[in-house]
Amino acid sequence: MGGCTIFKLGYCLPLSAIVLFALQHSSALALPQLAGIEFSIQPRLCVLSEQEERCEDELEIRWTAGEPRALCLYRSDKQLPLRCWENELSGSHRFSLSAAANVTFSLREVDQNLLLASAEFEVVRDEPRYRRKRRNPWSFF
Amino acid sequence: MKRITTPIALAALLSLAPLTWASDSAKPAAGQAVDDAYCTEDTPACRKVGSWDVSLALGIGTRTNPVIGRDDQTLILLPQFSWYGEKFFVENYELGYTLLDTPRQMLNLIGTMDLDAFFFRDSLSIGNFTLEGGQDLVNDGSSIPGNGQDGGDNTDTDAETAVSTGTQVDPKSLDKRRTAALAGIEYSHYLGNWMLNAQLLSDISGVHNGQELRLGASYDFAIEKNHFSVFGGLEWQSRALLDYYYGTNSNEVNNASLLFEAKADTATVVKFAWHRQLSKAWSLSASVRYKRFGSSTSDSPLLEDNKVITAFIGGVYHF
Repeated sequence: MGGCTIFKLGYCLPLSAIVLFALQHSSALALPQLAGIEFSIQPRLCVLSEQEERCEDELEIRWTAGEPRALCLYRSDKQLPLRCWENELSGSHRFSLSAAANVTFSLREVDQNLLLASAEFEVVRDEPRYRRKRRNPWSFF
Repeated sequence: MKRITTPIALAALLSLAPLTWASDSAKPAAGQAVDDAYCTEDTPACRKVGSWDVSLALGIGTRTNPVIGRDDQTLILLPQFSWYGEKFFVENYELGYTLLDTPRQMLNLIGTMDLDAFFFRDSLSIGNFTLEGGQDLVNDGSSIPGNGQDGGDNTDTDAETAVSTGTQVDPKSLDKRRTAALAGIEYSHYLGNWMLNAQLLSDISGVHNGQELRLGASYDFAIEKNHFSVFGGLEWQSRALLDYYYGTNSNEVNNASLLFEAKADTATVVKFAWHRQLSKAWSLSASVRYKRFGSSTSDSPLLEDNKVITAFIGGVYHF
């Protein structure tokens, strides 16, 4: 398993500030969703350490609608849909994700290819931080 | 014992350096005021949080020893290491915790060792990194050698000469001088290429219960790829500290004229350093440090010289 998702903060607490910031950022990126459609992905964020290149995680995507719909789930880096539903009120899809960058998931209506909802899975890199070195002029060298 | 007798000329030369290159003050230089954006991987004045920085200098140098009967130290290898966390840091034999770090100011709690003890050590001492073989930083109950009190064991000497004329201290009869652990606060103020530094330290190991106040200023400048640093400062040390290291008691000397009780005194320190980065891993470095004891301390019969000169030049490999 690579990366550190929002469900595994126990071992990546120092990154919590980044996580919180990214979560806020993530929410802001979510497109306005049509009335009656609820769309969610979990987890929504993965924080990569300096040594990790890709985030490997299990994702679960859920949607519910107020009336039966024919929908397909897409991810931004693939052309073919991940899964489609015919005349369903809700659906869920669980799968393994390997991603080095942000991935956007979207729900589209089968007939008109109309975008109904989307959400982003964010990949954040834990960039190394630098601080000023203390200078001790009293040392021998 | 070897002696170097040209420190005054050197100090005078160094004191002119800031004026000579003052016109370079507008150029970026190592150690000048930094802000967050300034601290990157390639900034010499900054360190990556959470990682070790280890280097080994290979070259030639010396550290004179002013204590009677003690040899100067030849410097060949200088290992150095540091680790910086968000607040905590380790630098060779020093520990610290940063209370304040702004582009212009830095306030640290620091723990360090008493450098005066180095002159009484037989241990493996490699530059700033000193391996204190078998030495205890905590007072084990042995008495303070000054002021005529009873001394501890008469060991810890590799004196090449043992003088027993009655007019000079026999190095073999000296009590052990332990290394004190000092702790205190340090404030640095960055003003362009200048840095003002103050350290107030106190013995926390119960070795001598003395204090030390250091006040100094350094000026950094760069000429092309060469980075220079000139530093001058005053080092006030309390009576208890100086008497522990440089005082004598009746167990150590057999002549009343050799009894010496030190007073609080101020030493002068001047340092000049040069650094040139050759590649990411290699750099060239040189430094000369001159310390002159205060006039009162210089009268100690344990000192056959009133100055200490540390000089080194060599290549540095950064791991």
